[in-house]
Amino acid sequence: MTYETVYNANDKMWAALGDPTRRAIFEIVSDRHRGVQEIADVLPVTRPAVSQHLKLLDEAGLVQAHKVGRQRIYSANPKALKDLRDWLDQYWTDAMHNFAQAADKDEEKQND
Amino acid sequence: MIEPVIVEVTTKKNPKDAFAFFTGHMHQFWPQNHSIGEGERSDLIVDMHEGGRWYEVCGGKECDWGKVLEFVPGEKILFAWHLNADWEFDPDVYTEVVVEFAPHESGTRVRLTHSKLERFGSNAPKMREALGATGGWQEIIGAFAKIAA
Repeated sequence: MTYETVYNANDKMWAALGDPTRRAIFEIVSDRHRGVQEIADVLPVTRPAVSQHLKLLDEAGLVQAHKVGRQRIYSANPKALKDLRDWLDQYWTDAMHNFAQAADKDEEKQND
Repeated sequence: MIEPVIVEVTTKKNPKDAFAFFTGHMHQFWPQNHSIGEGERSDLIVDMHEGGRWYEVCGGKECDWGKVLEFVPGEKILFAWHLNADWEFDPDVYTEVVVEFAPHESGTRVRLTHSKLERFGSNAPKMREALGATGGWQEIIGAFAKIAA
């Protein structure tokens, strides 16, 4: 995967998370599945506003919905932010392996 | 919650020495191309106390990476990582990086956990511009590609 494709795939996602209210909603549904009213109850925004934010989060691939009766229940999409996690995974692996190698080398030198 | 990124390594050093080496010799082992400043990195420093700074020195200029939230010698160090997803310092938002040191049969198991990743979205308006510029993720991904090849 090239940088360009990683970036383009994340474009909508970043825009969606750029808004503090949407980020709060995303964190709430990441915690556990919730309906629109439940989310509106814990945030200082109206129910229609929550619905609008959820729509954008859904389009960005950050949340998913399923129907229970007439209600839509939202949860975080487990694949969300996967690309970012992949970069970070590589970044930290790189740094930590360098650390272990340097630490072992230093230890051997001290024991000589 | 977004799953944290976890990386584990082992070293022959005991936990006390491994912790001291990790916090005291960062510049020596941290990949040179992972840098936010301009010019070659000449140092990477962690202040050894709670509330201390975590910063690099590039071309004679200091660039902050974050702060020390917890400092427990021989056991763990918790950083507030103030670099956002466009690899710039953001004083308002941080993700958490904790490095824990535990005794292991051959020395020490060192585990790094990077969490609160959902906060990375907070600077999105600036992100398009920054991501397109040189530096930032582009360089890091380039470096990764080389390592992976």
